[in-house]
Amino acid sequence: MHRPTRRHALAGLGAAGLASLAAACGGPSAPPSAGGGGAAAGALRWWDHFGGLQDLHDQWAADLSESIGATIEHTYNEPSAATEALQLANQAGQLPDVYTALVGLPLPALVEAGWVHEITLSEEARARLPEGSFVEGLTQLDGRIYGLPAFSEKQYVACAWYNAEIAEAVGFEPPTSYDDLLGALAKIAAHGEFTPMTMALGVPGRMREQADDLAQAGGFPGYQGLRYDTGAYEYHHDAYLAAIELYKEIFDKGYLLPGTAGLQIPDARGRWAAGGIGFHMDGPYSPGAVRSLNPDMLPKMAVAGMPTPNGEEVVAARGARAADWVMGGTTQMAEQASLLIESFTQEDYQTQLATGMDQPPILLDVVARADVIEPYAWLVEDFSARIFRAPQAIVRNVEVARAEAKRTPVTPELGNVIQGYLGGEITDLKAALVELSDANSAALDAAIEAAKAEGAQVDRTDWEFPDWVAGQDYTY
Amino acid sequence: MTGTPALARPREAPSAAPRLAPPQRPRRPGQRARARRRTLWIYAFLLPTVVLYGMYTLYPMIASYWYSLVEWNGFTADQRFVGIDNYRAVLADPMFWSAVRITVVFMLIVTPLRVFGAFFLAILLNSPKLPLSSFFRTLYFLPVVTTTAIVGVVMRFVLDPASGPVSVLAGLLGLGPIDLLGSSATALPTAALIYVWKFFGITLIYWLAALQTVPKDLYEAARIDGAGAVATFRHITLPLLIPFLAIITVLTVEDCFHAFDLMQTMTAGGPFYSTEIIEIYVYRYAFAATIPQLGFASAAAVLFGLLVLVVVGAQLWVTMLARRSGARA
Repeated sequence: MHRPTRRHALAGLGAAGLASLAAACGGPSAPPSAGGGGAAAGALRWWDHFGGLQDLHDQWAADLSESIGATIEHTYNEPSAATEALQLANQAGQLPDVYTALVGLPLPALVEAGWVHEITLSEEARARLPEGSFVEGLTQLDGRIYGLPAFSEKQYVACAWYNAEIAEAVGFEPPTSYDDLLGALAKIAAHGEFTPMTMALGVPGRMREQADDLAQAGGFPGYQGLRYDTGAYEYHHDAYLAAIELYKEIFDKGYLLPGTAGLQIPDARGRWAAGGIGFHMDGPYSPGAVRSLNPDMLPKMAVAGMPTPNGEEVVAARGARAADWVMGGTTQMAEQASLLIESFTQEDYQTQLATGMDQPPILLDVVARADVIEPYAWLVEDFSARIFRAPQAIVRNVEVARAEAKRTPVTPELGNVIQGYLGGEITDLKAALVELSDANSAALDAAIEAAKAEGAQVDRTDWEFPDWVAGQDYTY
Repeated sequence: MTGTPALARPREAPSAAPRLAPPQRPRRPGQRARARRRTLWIYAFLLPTVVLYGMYTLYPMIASYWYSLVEWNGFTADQRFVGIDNYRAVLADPMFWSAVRITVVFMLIVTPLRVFGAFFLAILLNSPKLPLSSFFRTLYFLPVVTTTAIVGVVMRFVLDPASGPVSVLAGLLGLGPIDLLGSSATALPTAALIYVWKFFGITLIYWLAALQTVPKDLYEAARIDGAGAVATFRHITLPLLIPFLAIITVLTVEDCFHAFDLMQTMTAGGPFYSTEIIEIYVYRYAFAATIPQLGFASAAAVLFGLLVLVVVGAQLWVTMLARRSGARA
């Protein structure tokens, strides 16, 4: 009889180990439960990253579970790790049934890669939303809906929030021009009791957003460095220079809270919410976040809108809103997930969304009836009057998505340039912005070439809209 | 040991005849079976480590070599083979070379402070005359066992120019608020000093362990010969610890290349990339980009690995040369 040797025993043990590993790691195992891993059987998993809306969403999940016939498990997807969490969930075949679309790919690429599932919305739900809410390439493809915009595109993020008590003590009016703002900051500094200003200078992305907004309101005929009329990058436009020089002057004159250069968004907001600082540049969602940090600050909040170089009226343009809510591509509960997503169009949800004072809801009218502070209501009204629909290359030619999916990031980006200029590492701002324009232009050209090589019908002219007129909604 | 022949260890006289292995007695069948069972158990206990090491260390390493040759955003299954294009792109990126420079500068600040600072402190803590030496050893080791990311977050508060204790102290001294992490001139040295403080205890333990290898009878002989503390240190302790210097330096240098958690939580590479070490550079492209560039990031990581290999290899080579020249002298 053949006796087993040590080699045989080891080989057997190894094979058993590998077999158990293989069984655990892959192979044609049973599909995940309807809700994915960790969820109760038959549960519908819902992830979102809106920190200020978690209580609302927890309650909404509990209330809705009965009516849609499935337990909804709502989970906060913490923003700093949200994209990675979705990436890992996708690779493990565990995407949530409903989630906020934080993945950087355009919608057609997400559909092609199986990240999202078609959403079935009733006619009643569609009718509730403003006309033009669903746009080909952004929220729907070939007429089929893949994403729901929950918030309005009518918003800007460079809002000059200030402390009304400090304004009264120091004596300044809401600033509308760059000089007004500098004057108000000088008065606060001269008063001596308060710090003039803070902002999230440590977050390049936030600085970029604010500079893009200020530049457009200051006369740049485009957005995010790209001119609507010519389709050319022009970060070195005078409006960008003026906006960045405003921040530079504020920085150099010592108006900022010490340490502002490294402040992250919650840090800057938290310092301002403590009550001893005059101004804070933040988005419309500031009151919702401030309420969770220091509710006593809420009645003191006032907003001056977005300053412009010489106090001109703000005229801004934003593209149609992309998908906020999508359905997981591997969901086994498409019907229930559609019902959950449809519930976000209901007026009571939108009203509660407005009450949360986060981004303005897609149904802007509900703000007037919601329990919000007056400056928030004023700001939303201002958005409604001053922000128009911008042209978008992807809306005119959906093939643009294939080029966008090929784009590589440009570094340093605008926010880094601002950070470097304020800190003194960049001394020639105009040269740095010219370089930034060239780098972005080259990245776009390279992406177009790569997409074309794979058969995409896309061209640089897709980004040109010579018929665009400021102060009007763009139609194709 | 030059100048102290009396203290030198006697060398073994070379044997005239080749040393023969003792004759092995044939094992009995029972013994062989027991030995086999014992060996089997050793392998069985090793298996989990081997499997886990393979899964979480070897596999990611090999995978990153593959990813460095493809274009992949991690969102889709589509991986396009691009050969060495990612390497070309990384090497052509000035931000990569900036990250290399910052990583090397960081290492050059941290290594001498950790190696030599810990060495002198270990000498002090090893002294039998020092009271509460165990307490001090624990005290210095304490930062090592704290979570690095938490240290990074706490240090941001400690160094906060608006209300942190360092700034308050500077204010009392009439220096005004100091923004150590907010200025590109001071952020890297500040981060390096915090890193030294955090990991000082590890190097200290290495040196304390090395000090235990010095035979006590040598100190005893030196004392009998009338050698003072300085002479004993110079002629006994120092020469016997020199061989440890190489390995402790290699370990510390290698350690310095892993500062991601501390740097990410303290500065995230800012202000304006002044603290962007290679690990943060890799992270930025792999996870912080809107559309991740996993192939590009993997190529940067592979090049970083090669850099570490070159630095450590160069160190070992220099050490070997020094030993050879020492032996010849």
